[in-house]
Formats: sequence, C-alpha cells, structure tokens
Amino acid sequence: MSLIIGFVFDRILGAPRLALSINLAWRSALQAPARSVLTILGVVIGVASVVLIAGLGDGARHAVANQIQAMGPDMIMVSSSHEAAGPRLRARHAADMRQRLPGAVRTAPQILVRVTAIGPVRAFDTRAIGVTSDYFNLGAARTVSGRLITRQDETGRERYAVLGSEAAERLFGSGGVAVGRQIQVNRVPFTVIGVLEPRGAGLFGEIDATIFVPLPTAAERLRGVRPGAPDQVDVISIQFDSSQSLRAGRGAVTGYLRQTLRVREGEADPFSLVSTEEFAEQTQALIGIVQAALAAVAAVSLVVGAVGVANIVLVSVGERTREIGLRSALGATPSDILRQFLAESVLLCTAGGLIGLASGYAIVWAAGALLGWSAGVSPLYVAAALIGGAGTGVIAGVAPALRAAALNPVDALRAL
Amino acid sequence: MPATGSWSGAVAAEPSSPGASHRQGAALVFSGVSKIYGQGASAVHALDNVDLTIARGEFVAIYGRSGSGKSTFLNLAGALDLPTAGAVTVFGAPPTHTLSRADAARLRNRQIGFIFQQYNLFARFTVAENVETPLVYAGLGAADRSRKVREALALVGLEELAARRPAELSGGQQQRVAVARAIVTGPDMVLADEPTGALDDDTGGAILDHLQSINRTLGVSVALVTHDPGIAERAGRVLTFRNGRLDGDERRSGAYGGEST
Ligand SMILES: Nc1ncnc2c1ncn2[C@@H]1O[C@H](COP(=O)(O)OP(=O)(O)O)[C@@H](O)[C@H]1O
Ligand SMILES: [Mg+2]
Repeated sequence: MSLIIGFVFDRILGAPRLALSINLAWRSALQAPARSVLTILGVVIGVASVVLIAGLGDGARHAVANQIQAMGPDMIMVSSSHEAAGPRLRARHAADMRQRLPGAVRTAPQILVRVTAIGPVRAFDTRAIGVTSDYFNLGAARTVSGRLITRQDETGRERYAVLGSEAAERLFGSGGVAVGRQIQVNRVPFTVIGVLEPRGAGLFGEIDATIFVPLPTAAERLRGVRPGAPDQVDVISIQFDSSQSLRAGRGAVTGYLRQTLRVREGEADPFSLVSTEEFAEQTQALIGIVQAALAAVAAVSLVVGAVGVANIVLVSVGERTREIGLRSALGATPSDILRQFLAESVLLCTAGGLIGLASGYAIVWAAGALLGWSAGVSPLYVAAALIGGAGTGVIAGVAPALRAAALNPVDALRAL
Repeated sequence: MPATGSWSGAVAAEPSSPGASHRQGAALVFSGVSKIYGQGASAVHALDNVDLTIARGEFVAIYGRSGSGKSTFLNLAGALDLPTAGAVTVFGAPPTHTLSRADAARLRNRQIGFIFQQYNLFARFTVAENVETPLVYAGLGAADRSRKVREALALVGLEELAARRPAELSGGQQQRVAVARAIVTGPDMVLADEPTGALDDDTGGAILDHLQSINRTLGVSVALVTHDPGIAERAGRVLTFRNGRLDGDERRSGAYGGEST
C-alpha cells in the first residue's frame, strides 16, 4: 500500500519528499498496530455514525414514503378503541361517510385478524384483513397473477384469498403457483384467487405478508360472527381527493362518528384517528430525533478521536525526537518534519474514516435487509466520510507536527 | 591564529580534483564565535570567542579533551546550532544565524555531510534507503537517487549489502554506510564527530582511510573531531580546543590534506 502510494508520488508525480512523508507515516502506524487501531476508534465510530445518519435516515424516509404509497395517500384511518365495552365502528359507517364527507373518494371498512396460515410448503403466523373490493383502490394495488376481490365475492361470502407477495412466497415457495390452490387460514380452507405485487415492506412491515379475504367472510369465518349480527369492523380507511380535503375531513369524520355513535359531550372519542400526513410527520420527527442523537454521537466521537490521534502523534514525535534531529542534519526542512507527522495523523484518521465508512455501511445494509428498506449510502456521504476523516487528521496533527518541526536539530539529536 | 591566505594557492595545486574550479574562498569561517549554555552562575562557555578559517579541501582534526567544545564547534560549523555571539560562515553563504531554518536545512543538505560516533542510521530502513535519505530531501528523482546511492556505496565497498538493515551489519560496516550517506549528495564538507570512537583500531583506521580518500579524490573538506592524539596526528592540520578556546593550530605535511601546505 505505502509502496504503491510511494511509487505514485515519487515516480509519477515527481514528489519524492511527499512520498517519503507518507512512507514514514505508514511505517510509523504499522510499527505499533494495536496502538494505531485503538487510536482511530473514535474516528471510526464518528464516521460510522455519519454514515448511519445518512443511510438510516434515507432508508427510513424511503420506507415511510413506501408505506404511505402502499396504504394510499390522503387517507384517514379510524380504528375502534380497544375497550371492548365501547361502541364499535360498523361497515355501514364507512358507506355513510363516503356519501356525506366532502372530498371523500372512497372508504374501506376492514377487519384485522391474527391468523395461522397453512400452505403446501409452510405454515406461518400472519395477519388476515377482511376487505371490500374498494380497499385495493386505496393504494392502487395490482396483482402479479390472478385477480382482486370483487363485490360478488363479498356478497357471496366466498372463501377466497388474495395473498401479499411474501405470503404467497412463504406458503407456496413461489408466488407463481399459488392461484387456484387451497390454503388454510385458522383451519378454514380458502382458495387463492390472486397474488399481489410486492409493495416493499413499510414501517409496519406486514403489507406483503398479509392475506386479504372478503369482509363478510372474515367476519363469519375468521371472527366467528353470526350471520345477521351487527357489521362491526376494526378500521375504516377514508381516502380524500386532496390533502386540503383531508385536513378539513378530520373534523368532519370526528363529528360524524361522535354523532352516529352517540358520544355525549365531554366524553372521550371511542375511536382513534390517524392520517397519512400525521403519520408521515410523526415518523419524520422520530427519524429526526434518532438522527440528531447519532449526530451528537458522531460529533463527540470525532472530537474524542481527534484528541486521541493528536495524543498518539505527540507520543510518536517524542519517540522520534532523535530521528527528527538526524533528519534535520541530513537536510529535512521544518516543513519536511511537519509533513511527516501531519501525514501520520491524516493517514490514521483517513484509515479510521474508511473503516468507519465500511462498518457504517455494513450496519445500514444489515438494517436494510432486516427491515426490508432499500438501503443506500450516497457517494456524497462516502466523500464526506473521507474528507471528514482526513480533515480530522489535519486538525489532530497540526499541534504535534508543529512541535516536531520547531525542534532544534542539536537538541533533538541529543535526545535519547 | 588561522593561516588565512596560505591555502588558496595550495588548493589550486590540485588540478585533478573535480571540485577545483569552484573551490575558491573559505570552507568555514568562525569570527568571534561564542556558545554559552545556560545562564548566570551555571552558564557554560562551550566555545569562547573562537576565530578560525578552514580552507576548501583541507583535512582538519579538531582535537581536545572531553568537554573542550569540539562537538559544539562541529554543530555550529554544520548549522545544526547557532552561536550565542559572533558569526559562522559556511562556503560564503550568509552567516548561519541569518539563515531561515529551512535555508539552514538546505545548506546542510547540499554542502555538508555529517558522520556521528554512534552511526545514527535509521534502523528500520535498508542500507540503500539510509544512504538515499539526503537525496530525497534534495528532491532528486528516483533514477538519479538510485544511481548516486550505488556510487556512494561502491565508494565504501558496500554495494553487496545495499538490501540489509543496519542491525545486520558490523559496527565498521555501519559507519561506512554513514560515510556513504554523508557524501552521497556530493557535499563540500564532511563533519565527523569522533567517527572511530566506537570502533577498534583497524576498523577505525579503515574509516579514516575512506575519509582521506574522499578528501583527496573528491576535494571535500573534512573536519574530524577526535580526542585521540594518534588520530589527530594523521591530519594535515590540527586545531586544538581547550575549555572552549582555540589553543593550537598546527599544520604538518605528509598527513591527510597536508600536501597542500
Ligand atoms: N546542551 C547543552 N547544555 C548545557 N551544556 C552543554 C550542552 N552541550 C554541551 N554542553 C557543555 O559544553 C561543553 C562543551 O561540550 P562539547 O562541545 O560537547 O564538548 P566535547 O565534544 O569536546 O566533549 C561541556 O562542558 C558540555 O558539558
Ligand atoms: Mg563531543
């Protein structure tokens, strides 16, 4: 490595003195490898944090955008409160709101059930959602094979299932063969009629692993509701035609539901509301907090790293005092000496920056693989990590290098 | 007193010397030079008002007891240190105390070669790399450097050992590497501080022979510090120091650098 750098600077760029500085720095760092590694730890952590800030932040933002795209934009989701005694949302509320609320383009009542699904390849625990045909229009879902749930499927209470891409993969080993075949959901046989395109897992990660069935089928077969019982649902999604309608719609939804559910004044809502906008804002804020914490870690680590490197270069100057005197005698100018130790500092910190970049990227990559995020670190951050590392090296190295350069040759030569 | 003026014609009598054409003027002039270490009662007058001139091409022994100021003299002569009072002039350059540190370094690099008692080689570098170091500071290209290193090592008979590290050499061989390093830049003057002090008589004698041949064939001025009268005797001129003062300045013929007088 130093041979290559030395060769480039010496033979190709014609800068033998610079090549020597780098060569000496390299040898010095390798002379006490354990010490060098410990020294650059702070820089490693600092730069890794910077990469994490960048990579995880971008990944999380991407995931949020994906999630919203998959769920559908400009949407309010209302869920029944978790208290069993309270009034419940009903499917007819959804139909009602679709007609009454200004700007509401579609509403989708849903029943959410934790299920064990068994396919020919494997059984796994997941989530089934009972949906109406309009549900799939919220996020413009498309199938890769088969078809979506229709109104006839609803009214016929068919035991049909549409599988998320990952659910199909798990149950059948490959999504391609699923359509037309049977699965069991909580021991109830269902026929697969379609497989969805992968949506990319969002923050809640389960969209691709979900099994979709007609709403009445879910109520009767998976929840055990008697036919003719009230059409209770868990969630109603309301999609608006614009973000302005969405903002205005919030109050209208609350008003409608309080009135319909006969909530008295002063009583808390027996339901909760979240809009895609809020969801985005809240997650962005959360990402911001995590990023700020990482930034603090990065800053502290880089400062600690710089102090550590400065200290070790100072030690190196001390160890090499006699060598400095000798080099002066042989014609090294103060700037040659300065460059030698500055190079040592920059070399250590740049190495720390590269290791930090690699480990930061590895963490981003692993987290991305785990959470299904599209993890990428932009070249901008690679450059920033390198420049940051080298810059830390310059800052850390200046003081000790100046001290070395200021040594009187005779005094230095006399040192033991 | 230094015999100013007596040497110039003598130097010209050496036409075979490659440096003859530019060897007009003095190699080294000390005028009223004092060096005081410390202050007040504990002050040490390492050099006390020294005046002397060394001509180009001279082989001079700096002789005196331990603590008499020989090393101090050599350090001032090589612009490694500055006088407390007076002026040191090397090869007609401005007095050393008026030079910037960088200019002093360049002066050492181009015109002076140092040899120390303890060899002072870089332990982690090969023989060739050690000899090459001053050439790197001179900014020389790689091809020129390796040629000059080969020539310098050939001169001290160590071409075969170019790839070794100092620890793999005997003391005498290490000092020969130091000699090669001192002359590799083609300096005008070599300053040697007890170069044979750590060697037995035979190996030390070989080092002196190398210094003599450098002086004779290359016309390089040599100032050799020694406390050994036997070694001083072999020089063409002996400057004797006592308690920081110049106490004697003898010339003899038949010795190193002595034919010229
Ligand atoms: N850096 C120094 N600080 C204080 N005293 C010094 C220093 N260097 C040399 N001396 C003193 O100056 C005197 C001359 O020293 P030096 O030139 O080394 O003598 P020599 O080389 O002839 O043995 C001695 O008394 C020595 O102790
Ligand atoms: Mg001495």
